[in-house]
This record gives sequence, C-alpha cells and structure tokens, in this order.
Amino acid sequence: MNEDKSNDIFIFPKWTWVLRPAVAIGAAGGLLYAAVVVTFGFSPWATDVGYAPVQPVPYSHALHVGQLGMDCRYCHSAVETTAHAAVPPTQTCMNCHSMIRAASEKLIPVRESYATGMPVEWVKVHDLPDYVYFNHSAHVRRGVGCVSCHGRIDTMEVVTQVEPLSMGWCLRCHREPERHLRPLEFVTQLDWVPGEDQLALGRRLREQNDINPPQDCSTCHR
Amino acid sequence: MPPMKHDGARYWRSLDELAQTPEFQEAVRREFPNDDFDRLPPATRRQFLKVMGASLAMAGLTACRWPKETIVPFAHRPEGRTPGVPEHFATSIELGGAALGMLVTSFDGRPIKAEGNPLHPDSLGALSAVAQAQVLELYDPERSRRLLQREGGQAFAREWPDFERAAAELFAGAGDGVAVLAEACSSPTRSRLRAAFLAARPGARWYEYEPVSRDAEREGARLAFGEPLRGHADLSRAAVVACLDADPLFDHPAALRMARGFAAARDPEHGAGARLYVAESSFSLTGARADHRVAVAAGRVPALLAQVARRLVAEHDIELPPAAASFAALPAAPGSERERHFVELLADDLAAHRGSSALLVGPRQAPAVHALAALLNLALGNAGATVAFTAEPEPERPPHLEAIAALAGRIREGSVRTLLILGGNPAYDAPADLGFAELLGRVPVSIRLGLHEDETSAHCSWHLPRAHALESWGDGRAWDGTVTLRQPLIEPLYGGRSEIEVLAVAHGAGSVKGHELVRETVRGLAPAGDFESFWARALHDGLIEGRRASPARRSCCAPPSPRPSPAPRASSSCWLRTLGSSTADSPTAAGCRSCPTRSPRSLGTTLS
Repeated sequence: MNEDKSNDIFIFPKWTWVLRPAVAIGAAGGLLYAAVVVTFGFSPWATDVGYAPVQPVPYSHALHVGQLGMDCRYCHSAVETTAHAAVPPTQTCMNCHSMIRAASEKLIPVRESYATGMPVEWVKVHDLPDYVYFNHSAHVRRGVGCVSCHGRIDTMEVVTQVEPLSMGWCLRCHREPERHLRPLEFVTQLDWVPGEDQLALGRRLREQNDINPPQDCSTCHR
Repeated sequence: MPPMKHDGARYWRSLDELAQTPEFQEAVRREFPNDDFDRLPPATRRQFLKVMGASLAMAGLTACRWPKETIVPFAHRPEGRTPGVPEHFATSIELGGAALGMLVTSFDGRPIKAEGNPLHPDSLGALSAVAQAQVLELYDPERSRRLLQREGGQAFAREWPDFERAAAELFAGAGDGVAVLAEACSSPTRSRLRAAFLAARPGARWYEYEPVSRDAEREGARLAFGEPLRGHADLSRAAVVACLDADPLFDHPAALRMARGFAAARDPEHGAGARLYVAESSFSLTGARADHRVAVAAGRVPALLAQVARRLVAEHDIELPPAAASFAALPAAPGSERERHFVELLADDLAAHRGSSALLVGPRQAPAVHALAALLNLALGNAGATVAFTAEPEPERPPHLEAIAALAGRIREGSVRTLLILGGNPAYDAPADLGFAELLGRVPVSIRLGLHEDETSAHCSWHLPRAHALESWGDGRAWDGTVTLRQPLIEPLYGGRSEIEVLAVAHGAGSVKGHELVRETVRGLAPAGDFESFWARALHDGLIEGRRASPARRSCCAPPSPRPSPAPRASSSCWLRTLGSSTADSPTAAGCRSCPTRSPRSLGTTLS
C-alpha cells in the first residue's frame, strides 16, 4: 500500500455487507412505523373515542334512561330549540330526588348545590374545539337521532364518547345524511331500528323534509 | 460578606467593597440575609442552560395533555333563561346631560353589545359610536376596584361601611361647609334626592359642572325669551337647513333622531328636500352632506349670521324685534367673495321657505349668536313647524362655568369643609386658571366617586369606585324630556355604587339600593292603578310613554308667563314641577306639527 495517507479513505469491510438489508429494512420499517403511529395513534379514534371521565355525581344514564325510560328531553330540555343541549340545573335533579333516594350519599353534591346555589361542575365529555359552531336544534329538528353522535347512552353507566367527532366524521354525514335520518318522533329513542332499509327510508325522509346539509367551511367555522 | 475565595484576580464593584467597610458589610447583610454565596453549589453557565433547556422541553409536554373542560349549569335556572340564547334588555346611558335609550345584548349573563332602543325618541334603534363603546368601558381593566381613604400622605383600603360611618358624621347637621360638585345629569331620581339633601341641609351648596355643554344655547334662549328654553329641530319637515358651526347629525344629544329626520327629508320621493347650508371651521359629518358649504373661522360665524339677518330684514321684509337689533349689530367685517355669495344664497332661500326652514347654531358660539338664531327662526315662522322650544328641565341652574368658578371661590375663601364630587374629573377639565387641582388639596375632606382613579381622585381624601351605567339602576330624560329608565345588566364588577346610591348615603338614607330609589321616583310618575304592571312595562320598554316636555307656546321677548302649577300627582322632581303634568295627551312633537304655520306678516305684528 502506498504510504501516502492523504488518499486514505475508510472502506467498510466486506462482512458489513450483510448489514445493508438490515439497515434498509430498519429505515423503511421505522418510517412505516412512524406513519402508522401518526395515522392511527393521533387520530380521534384513538385519542377521543372511549373518553369517559369521572363525574362529580355518578349519574347513570343506563338507570335513568335505559331502565326507567326517561326521555332525553326531560333534562336536556333546550336541545330542540337552541345550540346547546343544556346540562340541566340542579333543580331538575331535585324534582325527583327530593323524595326518591333523598338520603343517598351519592347525591350529596346535588343536595349541596341545591341548598347553596353553587353549581355541580360536570365534566364535559363531547368536547368540540372552540372554532367549531355546532347547533343541536338544527340536527334534532331534522331527524338526526341522538344515538347517531352519542351512541347508546341508555346502556352507559358512565357517559363515554363513542364517535370521533372529527371533521371528516361530520362531513361524512353532511354528504350522505340519509344514513342517519329517522322520523322526528323517534329522534330520542336510542334503541329504535328502522322497519325497512335505512338508506331507502333516509332518502325518502331527505326528499320529504328537503334536507340538504351545507358543506361549505363557514357552516361550522364561522 | 467574607472576601471571595478564589485564585484568580479579585474584582470589585465599588471602593467600599474593596475596603470591606463595616457600612458595606451591613448593607450586604441587609440585602442578602443568611445567604453565604460561597456555600451555594457552583451554578455554572452550562448547568444553568441544561436545566433551562430541560424545563422548556417539559413545559412543551403539558400541551399534550387533553384539557378537561367542565360544564357549570345553574343550580336554579332563572325563569325564561335558556343557556346560550342571548337576551336583550332596554336600558339607557347618560351622555352630556341627556339620556340615550339602548338595547343591550346579554349573553349568558354578560353584556356584550349595545344597540339603539327603537322605542326611544333620541335613539330610534340606532346608537352612536360613543354609546356603543359603553360595553368596552364596562370591561375596562383600568377601572377603579377599591375604596380608598388618604390620610397623612398614605392611602388605606376601606370598605363601604367605613364610608357610610364617615358620611354620617360629615353630612350631619345643617350642612354648613358642605358642597356637592356633580356632573350634568337629567335623572329625575337625582333631582329628587338633591332636593331632599338640600332641604335637610340649608347650608349645603350644589354645583354642576360639565366641561363640554350646550350652555351657550341655553343662555341664548334666556337672552331671546327671558328664560332658558330648549330648542328642538325637526329636520324631517325642513326644506332648508342652515348650520352655522353646528353639527346636528353628530354632535347633539338628539343627533340620531335629527339624522333620521334629515334622511327622511332628503328622500327624493316624499321628503321636503332639506337643502343644507353649512358654514363651519372644520369638516364635520353635517358639512360632508352640505349642498352649500363655506369654510369660515368659528369667530366669523357671528358676523355671517348678522349679515344673513340684515339681508333678510332689508330685502325680504322680515321683521325682527327691537331686541334682535343688538344681536344683529354683531361686527360684520367684510368677508370673502365666497362668504358673501353664501350669505346671499342662504338668506334668499330662507326667505323663500318661511315656516319650513331651520337655522341651527353650534354650541361653541356665544349666547348672543344663539339668541339671534332663535329670533330669526321665530320671525321666519319656523317655530312650531321645524323648530320647537320646550321648557328647560332645570331653569334655575347657573351655567356650568359660573358654577365651577363659584365653587372655586368658596374653596379659596375656606368656607368648604366637605366636598362631595360625583363623577366628572374637575382636576383635569376645570378651567385651568381656577387651579382646581391645587384647590382640592385645601378642602379638609373631599370625597370623589369615580369610575377611574384619576387626577381628581389623587387630590381627594376619599375615592369611591363608581358602578358603571350597565351595572346600576337609574333613570334620565331624553333630550325631548321622555323619562328613560336604566337597569343593570350585571352586578357591579368591582363593588362600585352608582351616583344616586352614594347621594342617598350622604343624605343619611343608608345603603339603599338604586332599584328602590328609582322605583320610588317612578311610583311618583305612575298613573293610579296597578303599579307593578306599569313598572314592568316601563322596564321592558326602557321608557315611560308620554313623559316628554310639551312645546312652550310663547311669543318672543314676552315676559315669562307664570309657570303652570304643579299637578296634584306630579312627582317631587323639580323638572316635573316646572312642567306641570305632561301626560300622554299633552302636545308632543307630532302634535306640534299640526299647529297652523303662522304667516310671517302676522308673526311680525306680534313681534313688533
């Protein structure tokens, strides 16, 4: 070998050739892994669905709606007229609980709130970003059932988010509302099943009620 | 501090440190007690950056946490309230001594937007920029949040009960040495409380000061008619409008109504036309709409008006009362060619439209100019058609400038011991030659109610936080006299109290709520019958229908006729006493339109 060190470059030994495919597979796999993690791990299906925070009062929709058969609108009375469905005031709880289970320990926060006038601080489950405008009455009055977005609340001990509430999810229904339309009288009936094909019923209702959901940006991002 | 222990060169920051004098060591010990710097771990630059970098990275991580939001419903939802649905309330604000009705939007209990009250005669559903900005003033973070008492150069935080105890002593007795300095205010409740306050304290004095006012107009009417009358212009029926340094479309308590009237008159299909002549020194909103505009210095306006008057008398047989001669003899230096042309056009047009023209002069002009304009309006037959005069709500009130000068004089001679300042900011806006800020320091006890801790508060021994108009109960009168109510949209954010509540405390009535005070006033105005429904209706509308001033039917320069006697059920408000009972059946502006327009000749005979 020449003694001149200036041209002396490092040459990988031959045995490292076996590592080449390993490195390539590692790089490609890493990219794929990152893509998969970002696609699925960051999607609302992973981050939002299944969110079931602990509430200050262990109120069971399964008991009140599922077993006792209360209508959604007894408590969420503003849902048909305003943007908010309105979590009920403590007064609504006490309509019944001043007599039923009046001494229950679980209801202490409710009774305290009723006596002091300080509100019960419920934890928000279905939380849309602040830059999104959503109006409950616009959907409920046109035959989109509660169940379409909130799931089977009547079977939930603890309210859990079941839909991603992402923009793509909203748009899917705005593009194809017939998948979720039902007669107005069944809007709050969570276990209702159409007697015929949902698509056929939905198309007919859409035609009948002239339902054309807007898809422009300013509909929700006002 | 022991000398630094290290091997390198020793640095020092002062000669004292180098010498390690006892004074220096004492100063260091006081500045850094118990800190022996040499025993602290050596924090190198590298270490510092490491720690800061790590905490920055960690701080970023908190953004990954899902924010937990709470829903806080009412425990007892008020009747008729639905969360997320805005509500509107009729209320009013006081701007320069006249109330302006507005509808305020409240979203979940917070006022967010002010718009005009369509039922209110001076608003008609619109609101000026100043009035709309009330919402910003309400949420102004610079507002005063505490009650202060200054003693011996120090300020102490106090509570309202402390002030109430102090007030009980300060305002006890016959009120000798007591003075009150208030803003111009049209509130019947304040008038009622003031009357009660002064009646119980014969020695007390009441002063009203407003830096920008329409006092010249008022004094002009006094010159022309022998008593202060308030002028109203109905531009909707005017064929010719002349504005001399006046900006009726913007700078007037009834500007919104006049702007509507003007727009109606300009309607090419139905309007009277309202050809607009403007002579002004700066470009105003009115000037921007003028058909004929001439730019003149404000000081030239009297001469301009005098020339118009002379031409009307000389060329068009308009007869002016002898008294007008002295006003018309205002200096008439020859003006520019443009000015002469303007005067000729204006005078000829005014003469051609007798009974359907309006001559308006701005508040900057001297009383004599206003007097001449009022007399010209009468002589042209405009009074009762496009221009009306009503009784001034408080004719005995001296002009603001005289009032503040009188108060300054009394302070200077040392006869004011307790001064109650309700609003305003006289230390800032009183005439500079009075030296009011310095005079305030001479008053033993000065109490200031204000939205801000400003120049006046700094010179007073008490500062009281004032409740904003959107936080308090109150009332007022529109420019045409309509009684307008004010209701709070929100509890006082910073525990302030309104002017009438503080006045009630000073009067010794204790901490009465403004609600009670206003209700009591309205009770005096209500017809017999169910008061609760009357009150609910008045609150809903924001005003009491039919409570407006009736036009004064008075020929010019006649001795003032005796005042109508107070109606048996008139309230204790001074303004109502002077007006007698003006109920819904009294002539209103609409009724005034139906008066037959007198021909100039017949008017001329009554004038001469």
